[in-house]
Amino acid sequence: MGSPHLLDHLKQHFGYSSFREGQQEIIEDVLDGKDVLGILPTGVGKSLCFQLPSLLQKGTTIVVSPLISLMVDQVKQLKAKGFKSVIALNSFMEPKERKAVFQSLNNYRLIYLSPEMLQNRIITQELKKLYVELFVIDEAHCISQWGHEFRTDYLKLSQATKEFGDPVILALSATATPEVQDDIKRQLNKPDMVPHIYRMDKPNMSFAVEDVLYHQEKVERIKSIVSNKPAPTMIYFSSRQAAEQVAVELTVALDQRIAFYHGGMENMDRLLVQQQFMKDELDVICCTSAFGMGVDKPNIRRVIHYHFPTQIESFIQEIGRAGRDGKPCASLVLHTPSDQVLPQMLLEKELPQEEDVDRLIRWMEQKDELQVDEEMAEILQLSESQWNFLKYHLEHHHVVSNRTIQRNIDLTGLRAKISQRLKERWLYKNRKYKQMVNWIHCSGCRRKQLYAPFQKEISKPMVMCCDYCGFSIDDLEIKEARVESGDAIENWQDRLRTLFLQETTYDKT
Amino acid sequence: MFEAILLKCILSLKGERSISGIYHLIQGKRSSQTLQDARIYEIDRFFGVYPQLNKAQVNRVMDQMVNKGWIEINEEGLPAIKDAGMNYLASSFINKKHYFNGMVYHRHVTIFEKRLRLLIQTVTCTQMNNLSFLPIEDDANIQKWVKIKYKEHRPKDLVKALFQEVYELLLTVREKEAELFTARLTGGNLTGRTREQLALRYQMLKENVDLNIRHTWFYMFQQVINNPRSFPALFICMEGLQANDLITDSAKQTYEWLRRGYELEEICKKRRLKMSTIQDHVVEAALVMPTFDITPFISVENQETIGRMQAALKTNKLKNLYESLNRKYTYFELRLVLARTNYAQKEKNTHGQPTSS
Repeated sequence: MGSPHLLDHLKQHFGYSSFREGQQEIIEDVLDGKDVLGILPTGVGKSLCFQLPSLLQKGTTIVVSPLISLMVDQVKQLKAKGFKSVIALNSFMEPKERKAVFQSLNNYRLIYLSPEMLQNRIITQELKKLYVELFVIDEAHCISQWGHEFRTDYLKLSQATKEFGDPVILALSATATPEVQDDIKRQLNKPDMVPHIYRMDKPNMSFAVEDVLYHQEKVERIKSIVSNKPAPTMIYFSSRQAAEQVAVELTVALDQRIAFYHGGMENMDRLLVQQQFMKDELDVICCTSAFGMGVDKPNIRRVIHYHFPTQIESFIQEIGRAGRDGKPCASLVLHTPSDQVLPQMLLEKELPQEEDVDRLIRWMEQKDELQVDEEMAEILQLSESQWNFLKYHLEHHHVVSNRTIQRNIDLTGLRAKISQRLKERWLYKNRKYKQMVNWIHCSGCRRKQLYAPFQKEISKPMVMCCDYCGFSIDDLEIKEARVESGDAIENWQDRLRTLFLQETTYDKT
Repeated sequence: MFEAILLKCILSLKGERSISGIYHLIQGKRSSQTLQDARIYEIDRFFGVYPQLNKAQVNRVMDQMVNKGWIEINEEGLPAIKDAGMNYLASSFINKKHYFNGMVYHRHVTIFEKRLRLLIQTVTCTQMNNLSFLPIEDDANIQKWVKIKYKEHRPKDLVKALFQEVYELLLTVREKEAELFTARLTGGNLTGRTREQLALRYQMLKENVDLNIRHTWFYMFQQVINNPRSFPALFICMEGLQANDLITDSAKQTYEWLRRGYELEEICKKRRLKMSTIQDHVVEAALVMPTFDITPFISVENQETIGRMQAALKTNKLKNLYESLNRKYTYFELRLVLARTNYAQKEKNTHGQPTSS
């Protein structure tokens, strides 16, 4: 399949001998100069859809991506593959480094940046000097107020593309309902984008939810599942502490290689855990949603949710990491009645309360300009996302421009408008949350119900379908043997020798 | 080890400094207060040995030590050591012979460590034809440095030489340290273990995992810098790491102006800094540079007067000294003299490097 020409490039640059579903169609349209909306399930290599064109085109490719860690990850992996002309611009760069990069921007084929950086005049001035041929919006659902991770800075992207001389636009997402897809086109002002929508259900995955009474029961259940047959397993938690605790409990109880991963760990340790998991040096990883970005491990067999996320979209993204090799895999949610508390707390952290709006208004009455974001969050005692919500509305209603607070504004009216939006947002978030909870309690085929908001039909599963259809996680078929690793080496002398590739015994002279 | 270091600090500080003060010292906060504490209370070897440390970790272990009856904390929040704590400390090698030398080397050891970690990963992976490994060090400067060194040497020789030198050095440290150190390295087909994994495997505090490994790095660093000819491969990682005594860059600039003969007031104007800041720099220079002359700021007779009073009072608390001398001298002058006197004592006490254990 595929035109010989593109396939050659794929082989030459990436070492793959065939495209995965959707990649070639999208790349061909992009090279043809068409704007494309690509909805591809997680794990089929969305990034290849712009990485390959960036190598084949004369002009620069700009990629807007919401997460710095995600960008840095992709750049690292590209560099490891031998691509040198790629860079991630981020606000953590030292002034000196930044200056050097700006002077050589036209040497890069692929430039990653965050949407916030496009608000920076100095940066846009530099970028405008380039011939931008392709403008990619990764995680494009962030553009929609109905997307699960609405990011206010994404709304300004269509303006930015005009400044770069209207390059070809490629909007990519793994999770976008039809409603969100329409919104993406509208917000980008590109009604004629060519849609390439692919199903996200995985025929090789089975689903199950098990109800237990206590949290300790979850741990016991995990022990029995995992010890039944060792295989690469991810366990998702909403709290760092729980991830750590359960990892320790499992390590003590089982003869398996277990680690935890969360955003509170040091950089090197995070990298080490990720590498260990990739290289089959770990059987089980207890993690928060911080893990997984850019993790492309083919043989994950189980994704267990110790805590379930606050929306179906996140859930689909997380289970999408399993079974990328096409072999049987399973998703299991362990559920207790008390699980409702944690998501509620998480939701509350995302949006401000009515009191927070009042506090903001009172503060603004006495000031002429806003402080920088971190300080505003500190002053008003808000989380980052709470402050972002408020800031967006201040700008949107022209109450604030460039941090200066406009005079003679109707603060009462503003307050009412923000409150209104806040209510809508709360309702929306709660609706999404309910959707997730309903799925957990659903009494029908889980597969059908999970994907119903995204697609009309589902493929026929090649494994047992779900617990409604009679599946239990204990039935999951795991054929491969566990891969042993160097971790088994206990003695430091032997480990050092192996590490340094010294086979013969070293005699001390 | 962590507990022993805390106990040693508590003991040396004689109940005159808070837990925060101890935290800043071990973490390596570059304020002149912290630097001065480290020097005058003679715990400068622990300065900056644990940069990743956070306050909560210190508080947690302090609470545990209170519960164990090793220390007590008074109403003002000042900790003091008790008999049980003394006994524990006496049993630890931290109280006898250790290789931490933070004030002088903490920044160098960090760079040495990062370079060597990445160099080992690079030479062993490329040797296996794995050219697409993910570097375990993110620091762009370190990556650039390793790239240059990699090109300057034959990887094959480097793998062998690094192995032999590391192996030889690890044979001379405690078994536990060698195990932890090796387990944390990444190279060839092996991925390093995280501190959490090691803490669990060896049933020790996470802080002790970090500090044991850090101690090995200090040991290695000093062995290599003192015997470059015995460790030529490791010495590659020493490039540019000459002992540079002045701690902060800002203090260094002030020192340069002083050397050119400028008065403090002039330096204030030139650098647009407050007098107190410039004075901090001078004290810092007095603290860390053995050759720094303080007589331009306070006469020899006055130095002697202050020194005598300090010896009589047996305290390092500036306020007591200030009052006892009838407020005749400024705090700046007192701090300078304290920095000097203690420096002289210090040199006598710790003369000569400890030999291998």
